Amino acid sequence: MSLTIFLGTYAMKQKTQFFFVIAIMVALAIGAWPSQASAWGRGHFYVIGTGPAGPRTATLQALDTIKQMDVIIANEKHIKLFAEYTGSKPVLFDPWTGIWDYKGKSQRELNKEDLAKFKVERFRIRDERVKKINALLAEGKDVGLLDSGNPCLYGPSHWYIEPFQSQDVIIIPGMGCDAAAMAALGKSTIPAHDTHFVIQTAPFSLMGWKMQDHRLLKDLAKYESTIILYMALWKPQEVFAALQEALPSDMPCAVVFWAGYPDRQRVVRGTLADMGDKLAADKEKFMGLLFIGRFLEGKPYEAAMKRGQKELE
Amino acid sequence: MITCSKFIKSKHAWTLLMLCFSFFCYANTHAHQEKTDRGKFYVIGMGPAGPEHATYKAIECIKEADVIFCSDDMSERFSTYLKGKTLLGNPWRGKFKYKWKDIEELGTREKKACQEERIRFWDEIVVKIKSEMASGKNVAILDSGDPGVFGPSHRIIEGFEEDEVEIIPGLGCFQATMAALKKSSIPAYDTRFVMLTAPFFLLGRPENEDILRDLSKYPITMAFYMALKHADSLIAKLKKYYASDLPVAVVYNAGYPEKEKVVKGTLGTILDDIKSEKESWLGMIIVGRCLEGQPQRGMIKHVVR
Repeated sequence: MSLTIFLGTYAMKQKTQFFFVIAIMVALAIGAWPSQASAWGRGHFYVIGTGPAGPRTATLQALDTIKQMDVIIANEKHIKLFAEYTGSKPVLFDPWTGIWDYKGKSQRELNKEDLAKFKVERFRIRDERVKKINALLAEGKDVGLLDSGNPCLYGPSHWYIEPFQSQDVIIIPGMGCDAAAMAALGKSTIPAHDTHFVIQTAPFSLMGWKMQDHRLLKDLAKYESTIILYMALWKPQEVFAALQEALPSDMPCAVVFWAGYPDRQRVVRGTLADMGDKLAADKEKFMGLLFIGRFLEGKPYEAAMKRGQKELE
Repeated sequence: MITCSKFIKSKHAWTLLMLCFSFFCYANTHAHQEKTDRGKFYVIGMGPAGPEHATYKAIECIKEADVIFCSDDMSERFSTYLKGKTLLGNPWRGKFKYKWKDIEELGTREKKACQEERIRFWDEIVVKIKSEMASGKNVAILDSGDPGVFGPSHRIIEGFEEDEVEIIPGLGCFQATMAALKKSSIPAYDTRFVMLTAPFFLLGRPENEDILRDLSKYPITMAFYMALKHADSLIAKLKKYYASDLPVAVVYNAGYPEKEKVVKGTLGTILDDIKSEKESWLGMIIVGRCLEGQPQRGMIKHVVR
């Protein structure tokens, strides 16, 4: 009798425990549902590195991601290049208008007064566009911004990335124009002779806007390196005069124009002494990457290996 | 004896002329045939991980190749695209191991022997590729990441004339690493440049810390390849010249969807933060202020025009 009572009580306890656990689970699920639902339902802001020269130099992931987007953000040129993948998707806006120009003028041409207004206006435009993207994400839409090359090195898309929460943004890495240009040059940038590092920069970052700060360059010149300069075709004679303040005039250099574009890619080679004039005579002032260093000479990889061998002797 | 003018007018002259012309045509066609029948040599940057990070052009190029050199690991990852191809083995044999030992563990004499063996092996590969090309085969080496930066394929490329090789650029692990971190490496606050290097390239042999002393005067973004094994000594050296709150991130297996992992810290904390990580090869160390806050917006404040 007492055993029956004991078993009955035990079974009752088990039942109670079971229902108690179920009740907790249901409560948790209900409590968690609204916030999770909004997190799951929210779209993502994709920044897609599309490579330097159209679909052939884009990764399969980039091409696939473009296809999956609900809305695209890109300029007209980009849309044309990737028309096969963007199809009839709605294009929200051209992300670059108003970021480097003001009232139809490039930022470089602005007077002091307009420059001050431009600095405020470009952020206002950016913030307005960020609101539009946010509204679409809230509706559950995936929005894809097409950025050329590698978005994380001189990639203007960070104008748009930074106002978002990290979890809203997915960056699809893209091959930079540097990789395409290196392939065109056919040389190893490192290992290369006694090269210690590869530097990626622009003349204004390296020497200031007026090209007059040579301290960093002089420190760098103490060590063998490969220097890659973006946006270096503008005012080439000033750039090369400044570079020669610290680096030897016979230092080899090369410019790869339109890297990755099958019909337009070309390479101009020279030294720091003569490249300024060569570039001044060239019509292209933007789509080119400047490489400086001894890696352009001979067999740089083999030379580095031989140095390694000697160090072991 | 017939005179010269008589010979020119004779039937024999015309026969000789026709014979010479036929021989010239045959020789020329044959030479041209040999040239056009020669295969091509491609070095293809396959990106840092699987096919999704390869470019469209890289995949197209694999299709054109008859004979492929690549590591076993890569042949697994790209198996779909390698069906029907002749695989001639791993071109990087001996790059990481010598007589079953890690390269790092070798003594000076063994290291020298290992390097000589590598040079001999790579020279052999060049000969093999040339022979395949001569028999009309298209040959490709699949290199990981971007062949232009720390791409071992250049040792083989240098065995060829410039116009004999076509390099197909690829997505580098630096790009995949920065995408995982979601930050702009430059522009970033007052960053003057991005430096791509490896600890033993930066400091040289014997190690020279003057370079760090000079670099530490300027704000830069540093990206270290092949640094995981020596993370402790690298971080210890950096701490001598930089503030211990300088942000550091380690990105493991960048680009691999299920394996990618980001660990963030500072020069002061990062060694503790990565203590439990087992991966000692596939990872990159990024150091710099670009890792905190809004680096691009921060740059606008610093640039004075």
